[in-house]
Amino acid sequence: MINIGLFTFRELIRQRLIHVSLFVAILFFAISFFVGSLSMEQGSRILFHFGFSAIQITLVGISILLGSNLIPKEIERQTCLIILARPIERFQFFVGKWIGVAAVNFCVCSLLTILLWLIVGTEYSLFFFIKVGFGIFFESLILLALAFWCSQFLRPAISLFFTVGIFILGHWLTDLMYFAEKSKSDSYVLFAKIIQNVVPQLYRTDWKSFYLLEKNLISSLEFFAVTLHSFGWTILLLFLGSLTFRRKDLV
Amino acid sequence: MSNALVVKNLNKSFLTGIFGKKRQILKNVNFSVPKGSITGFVGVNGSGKTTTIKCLLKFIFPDDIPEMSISFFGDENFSMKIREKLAYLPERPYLPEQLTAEEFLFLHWKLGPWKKSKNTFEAACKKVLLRVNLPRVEKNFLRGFSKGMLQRICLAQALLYQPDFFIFDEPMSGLDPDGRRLVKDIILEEQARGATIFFTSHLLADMDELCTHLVVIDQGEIHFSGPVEDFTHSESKTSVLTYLDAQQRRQQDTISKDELSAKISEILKNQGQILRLNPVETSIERVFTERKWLEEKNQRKEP
Repeated sequence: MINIGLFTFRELIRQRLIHVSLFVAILFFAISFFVGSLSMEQGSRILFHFGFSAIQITLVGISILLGSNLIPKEIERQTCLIILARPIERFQFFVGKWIGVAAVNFCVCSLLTILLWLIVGTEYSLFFFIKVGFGIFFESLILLALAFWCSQFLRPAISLFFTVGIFILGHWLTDLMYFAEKSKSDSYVLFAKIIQNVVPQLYRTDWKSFYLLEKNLISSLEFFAVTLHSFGWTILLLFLGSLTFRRKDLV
Repeated sequence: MSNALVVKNLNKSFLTGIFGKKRQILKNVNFSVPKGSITGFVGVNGSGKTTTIKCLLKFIFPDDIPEMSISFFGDENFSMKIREKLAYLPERPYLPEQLTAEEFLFLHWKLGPWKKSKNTFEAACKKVLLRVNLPRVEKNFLRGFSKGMLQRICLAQALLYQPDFFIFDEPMSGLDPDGRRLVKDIILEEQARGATIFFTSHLLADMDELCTHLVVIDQGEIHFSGPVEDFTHSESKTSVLTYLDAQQRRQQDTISKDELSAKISEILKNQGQILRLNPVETSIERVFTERKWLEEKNQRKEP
């Protein structure tokens, strides 16, 4: 499993998609820097928010694109067959591939977070930046596992749209709950509660508000809870994906 | 000779179309591959060869019927121990383009049944690349390889350790004459080492040269499974009789087995002389393309 992950990582970091994603994120940093410099007092706030948004879009993009296409492409081109003829289980291959993409996400996220910290200003705590970076990384792990699972029974394009839909819904859950409570309709509240429990609460991983940095509001307990929530969802989705892949005809 | 592979009652259906119409691809496939043999798997395009191989390696799952079994070396469970003994070469090898030849082989080395050091690998890698006639390509990316080179590197991963059973799907497609010769030599060398080889090919002349056994499939049904001689001599058992007739003229007749004794009696009665009696020269290609095996099978089916 680790070997599959390692070689998937090696293969992916040489792909143009990753290079282009990194380039676009850095370009976004540069634009934010110039936009921020036009503002008298909000410069670092703009740079902070735009910078982390760029990291989030990059990671979400990589997760959804690779997650929806990687295994279907391996099946279509039959590259996975010579690996699966070896003495390894199918779940090892599936999870190994996920590990490879997750490792790419980790590297991209670390690199961009440190770069952003250097640009925004080292007067802010690096530890806080790392926490925000981890939030985005956790979100990418969930979306990656979801896209991996969906790509087992949906066409890559449909899997991609479905994962984007869950990403939007996952960030929209607080608003959904707010509107449900305001509506005073029992069925709407019930519906919102069900959605709250069957969709990953991605808004909880979103710590890129400058307000949080100023007030240093990400407590260790909150960080631990979000870590647990993210890993719980990731493991569940990987389990479902492995189960589906285990009985899939590779044609 | 014991069997390395025994397949019994293998059936495979796919659901097609919006309403999931069942389409049966393999119908009660039964055959065996003797240990140490080179067994050719022959059939026209779409006859079910690749589907059968995919079922053998559990890439696709056969229809679940109680009498169905696939056993490698007597093991029906396709356990890890059995998979350690197998090597597979796919029909159209698309390989990870962003890896170098060395990295690709190292991945397979790591996935293999042994735990050896990188140093041992480097020696094995050089040796196997030399064996498939790809020297000094270790550091080259696979994206720069031609179709024939990819076929060879794929063969190299199969040969990286010494498996007991090779499954090759069209190992000679996309290769130049030198490449085909190389693959044939490797197949013969591996058989001499004691390995069993089961392969498909449309190049029947190559099969003639290599195979000791043959499995013939058509429209998902096995039509023949056994030694090559039984297949090539299944066509009416004809013989070539060379003799001198009553006027001492040299004659040559191709006759069937049933006519043979009557013909010999007639020649001797007419004061002739039998010079030679030879079986008709047959080949897999000739028998296969003439479809006599199919006619014979159909005749047997008819009352």
